[in-house]
Amino acid sequence: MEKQHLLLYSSDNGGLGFTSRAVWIASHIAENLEKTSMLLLNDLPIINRFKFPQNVDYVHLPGILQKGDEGYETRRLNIDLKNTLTLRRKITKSAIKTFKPGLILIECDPAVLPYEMKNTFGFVKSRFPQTKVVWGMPDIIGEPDKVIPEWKKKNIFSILDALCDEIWVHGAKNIFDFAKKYEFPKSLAEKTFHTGYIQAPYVTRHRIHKDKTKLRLKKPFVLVTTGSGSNGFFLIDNYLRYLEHAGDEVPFRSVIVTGPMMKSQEKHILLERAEKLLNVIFHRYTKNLLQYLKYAQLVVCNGGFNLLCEILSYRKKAIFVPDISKANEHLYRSQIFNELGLVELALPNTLSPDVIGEKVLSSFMDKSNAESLNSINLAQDGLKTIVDRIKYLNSLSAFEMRHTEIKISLS
Amino acid sequence: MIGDQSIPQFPAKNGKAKTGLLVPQENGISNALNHRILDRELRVLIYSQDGFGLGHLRRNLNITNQIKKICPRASVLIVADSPVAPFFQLPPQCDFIKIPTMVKVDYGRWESNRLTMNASQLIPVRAGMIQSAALSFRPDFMLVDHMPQGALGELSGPIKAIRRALPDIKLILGLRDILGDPTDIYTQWKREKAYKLAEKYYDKILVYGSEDMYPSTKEYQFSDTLNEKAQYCGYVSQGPPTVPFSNRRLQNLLPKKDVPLILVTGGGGYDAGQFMDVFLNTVRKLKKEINFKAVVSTGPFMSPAQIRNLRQKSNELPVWIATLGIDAIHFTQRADLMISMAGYNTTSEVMRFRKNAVIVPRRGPSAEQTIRSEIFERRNFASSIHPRDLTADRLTKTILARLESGETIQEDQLPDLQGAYNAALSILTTP
Repeated sequence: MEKQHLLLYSSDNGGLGFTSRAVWIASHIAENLEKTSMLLLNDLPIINRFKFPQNVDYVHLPGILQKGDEGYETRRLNIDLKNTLTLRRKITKSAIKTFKPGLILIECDPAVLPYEMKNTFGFVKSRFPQTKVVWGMPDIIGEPDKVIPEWKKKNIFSILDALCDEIWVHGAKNIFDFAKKYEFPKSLAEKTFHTGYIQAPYVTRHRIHKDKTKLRLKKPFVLVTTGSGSNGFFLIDNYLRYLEHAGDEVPFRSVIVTGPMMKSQEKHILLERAEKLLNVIFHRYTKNLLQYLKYAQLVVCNGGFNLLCEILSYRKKAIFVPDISKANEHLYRSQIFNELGLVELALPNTLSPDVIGEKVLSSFMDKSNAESLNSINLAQDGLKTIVDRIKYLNSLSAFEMRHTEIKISLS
Repeated sequence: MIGDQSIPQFPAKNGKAKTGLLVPQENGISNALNHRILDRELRVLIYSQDGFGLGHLRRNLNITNQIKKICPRASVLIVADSPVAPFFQLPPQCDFIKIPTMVKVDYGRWESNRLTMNASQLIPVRAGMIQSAALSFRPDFMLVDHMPQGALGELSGPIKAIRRALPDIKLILGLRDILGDPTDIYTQWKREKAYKLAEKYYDKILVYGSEDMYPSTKEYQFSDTLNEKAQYCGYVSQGPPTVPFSNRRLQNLLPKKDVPLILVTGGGGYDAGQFMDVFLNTVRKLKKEINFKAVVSTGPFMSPAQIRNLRQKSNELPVWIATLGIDAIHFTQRADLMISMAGYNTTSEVMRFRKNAVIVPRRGPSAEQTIRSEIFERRNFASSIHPRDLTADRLTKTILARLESGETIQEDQLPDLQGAYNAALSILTTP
């Protein structure tokens, strides 16, 4: 196969889900498509903590942050939003013009500054007609009643249609038919594919030796994590209050990972309390999150897409305490997976130390594994589908290229 | 008084590049006030090219911290290519752009460390990003580190475009005191038209060193025009730690007060494995002679295989292998003896903290570290061992001799070590 260039673009404002997902995808492509050079453009401040395989390098762009419901601001620099966006756009365009990717994969929330995305990637179609533009989406992005009006208002359907050759939904059609549920217009629906859920990276058992003094992981433990941690205080606070109240009675140990984006003050409060408890390991960030997850008896988390993929991949029992957001993405996803019998659900408005304790205890005592997953036909080969699809698109554009050359030579 | 730094005095030298600041020392701050730089929202862009390392980045972050102390509302955008950027905590209002990494494989030979792209394919990608960044950030000052033309001349185009689009921008070149072998550097700078670029486009050249230690402007054959623009501003280094350990577990590695600490560091660490291995071979012998504890800092670029090897060897020895990261400075402060390579930042810290030290320069491809080691040896600032002479015996003897004498640099022998502050002030007051 020809040498291929692939550009990934991800943006997280406050969290880290989009970029972590892009790194998973890039790593899998690197393993399975030789001779593919990949550049991942992103704005994650802690991107340097990620491990990149050969053939993937990254470009970090200055960040933006959400401010209030609809507004955004420059994350750190003292220039206004408009200038920051120009800066990001110019660097991205320059990357496309010089790196000349055959495929651009965007992993972003389409509702964040859609016009800016149009300004950034709009020129690709005319300037580089051979380059395919693909937008990747999580399985579910919120309640249809909330998503559809917003997308209509922000003109997102037509922007996506104009920008993209394909939409890849990293979910399963039999569980949630993305284009149908969000009422995609016909032309956009025709471009939409479900790749299946993304398989979390495979991990081997890790010596978590530093913590040995406090916790022998051979004993059963619960992993409590809130993804990036930017909204994680509420859940972890409740969980700790449960442990504080229960005292020595608790029949399991706990690993708490707040997530690296939790505010320092919040982390300090939680850390101080966690240190007073026996049988608790506390991290803000750990490279070994997946190792912990692999050996956990139960996962308590907030219903983000990446964590769902990890839980499905490792067939873990889980309790979701969804974050309440504008479009209720976590809540909606949690409800669907709760109905499928794959996860327990604890609603945040009724959450208390007692409720979380009760849920954890009953789930912990229930020795049946996450069996129900076996009875559901759930596509989990998203990464393989992506690689196959890229191969297909490459062969297509090679054909188109030859075709054009023939036409030129004929004329 | 701003920050924790006092402004040192410089002896005047005539007919050569200026030593110290352009403005008289004692007027430094009032001059800054006159420029009203303290309350302006200045913008500074820094180009920091590291490849597989982080030394340049670290120096530039030291300068960034001082810029923020002098001008708290300044915003600094660092364009870096180190895969570990930003590595250290960035001050508020500072952000970074990381461009694709390019690694020096030999003198003048570079390639991508990750992508299957050679330098000639990668340069346009990087140059395009640097130019786009500068033209949309519209900095008041741009500090270019190490090479006026950038790696492989990648800045030649952008510098011209930036000068054209932003006529008021101040372009400042920041040079480490020792760039490499003078003949090699001269040839490279000539070939890549670096001298011309510096003469025509740069407003100021800062040499992060002292003329007395190493006359960089002379060694690298600066023309009169360049000498006019050049000034020595002292060594850039990090001061004593102002924040507690970021990783509290590392604190436990510090020995009790009466036990000597030997700190072994090798910068980014990608080529430090060998000399660290030799050090471990000395420990069995040392252990019989003296009571001590050693901490070996592996750095972010050491291969897992090498780290494993060091860990295995260190079993049952009073040696701890650790990635100290940003907490390394706490260990430097406490160390009774440092054993390190001869990189700019480490040796500057040896001077700043007046450490008893043994240095083992990097063999190459650049002669930078061997030149620096010779200077340190000659001035009796440290014992230096050339890697070809590095044996466990030799190292053991040297360590014992240094610990016995407890010799550190005499205070009156020290060059100016306030380079970070001087550089920051000089940048912000560029006329």
